[in-house]
Amino acid sequence: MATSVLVVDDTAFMRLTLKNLLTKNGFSVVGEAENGEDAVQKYFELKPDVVTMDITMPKMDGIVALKSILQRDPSAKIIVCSAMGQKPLVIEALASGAKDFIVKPFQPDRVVEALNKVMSGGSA
Amino acid sequence: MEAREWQLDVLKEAGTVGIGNAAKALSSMLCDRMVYVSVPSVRFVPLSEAAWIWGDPEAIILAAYVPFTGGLSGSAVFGLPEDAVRTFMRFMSLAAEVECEMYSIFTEMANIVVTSYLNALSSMTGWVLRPSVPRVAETMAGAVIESVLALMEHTNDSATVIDTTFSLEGGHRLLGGRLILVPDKMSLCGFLQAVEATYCR
Ligand SMILES: [Mg+2]
Repeated sequence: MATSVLVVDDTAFMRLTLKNLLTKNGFSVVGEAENGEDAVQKYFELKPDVVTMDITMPKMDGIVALKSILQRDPSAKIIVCSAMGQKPLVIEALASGAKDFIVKPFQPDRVVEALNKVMSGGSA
Repeated sequence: MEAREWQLDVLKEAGTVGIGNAAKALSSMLCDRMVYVSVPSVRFVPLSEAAWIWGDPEAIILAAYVPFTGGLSGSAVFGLPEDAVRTFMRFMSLAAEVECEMYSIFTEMANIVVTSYLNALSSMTGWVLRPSVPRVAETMAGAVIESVLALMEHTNDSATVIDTTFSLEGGHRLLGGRLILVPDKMSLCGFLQAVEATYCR
């Protein structure tokens, strides 16, 4: 069965970009969320194999959402996908349990590789 | 070098590093098209003159207002004429297959460009700088910058403005926009010290 993905980003454009890219590469995007709160709720509703998580979003940012999901489900596979490639933040995200950190703007291959790697049991 | 002159120099360097990283991100979004950037100008702008920062205050632009917090706080404004946004959309590799509203694409473009600028300032200080979600509007250039300065704290009667422009060839002409950073006065001092500590060791 195709790997199921929850795509989290506040802009419709980025959600659509990721959805197209992932679908084209054999993943199944089972849900989308546009803020951190929405992401936490949809994660437990849909139980996707992987989450792509933006950081800068309204209501609840992606780092808070990531911690909140991992606290309740330590096996959650979350890949951060954000423009905020600042070293202390990347370290915080990975230390909090993110499997990888992709800095926007990304190369499409980088995203596909990250998902494949996470699904085969590796991490960043 | 006098203190004030030195500060202007540091801010100019920050602007150069910031716009360089922002241009790199923009170029990468636009399939590696060459993006040219200006040498930043750092000015103390009286509020009464804010409307003219952009040149023609009545020019209609798509503007993204991005307040940010962290060791350095303030506001960034990213602006592009609408026809430039439309051309950029055509240049974007992924957008070709993405049927999406122009506002949504511009919002993400602003997020990536401004955040990349802040990432560079972060690496100059080691601080995390957190942008908020861009607020986007189609508006007169003078009005947007005036309202941003008026909203800011501690501006009193003038604001420090780091003004950068960028451009790229689109069709047969140059398409360009602006990225303006307006740091909060209260946080500038600490920023200058942190840059000095990182750079001048
Ligand atoms: Mg975002």
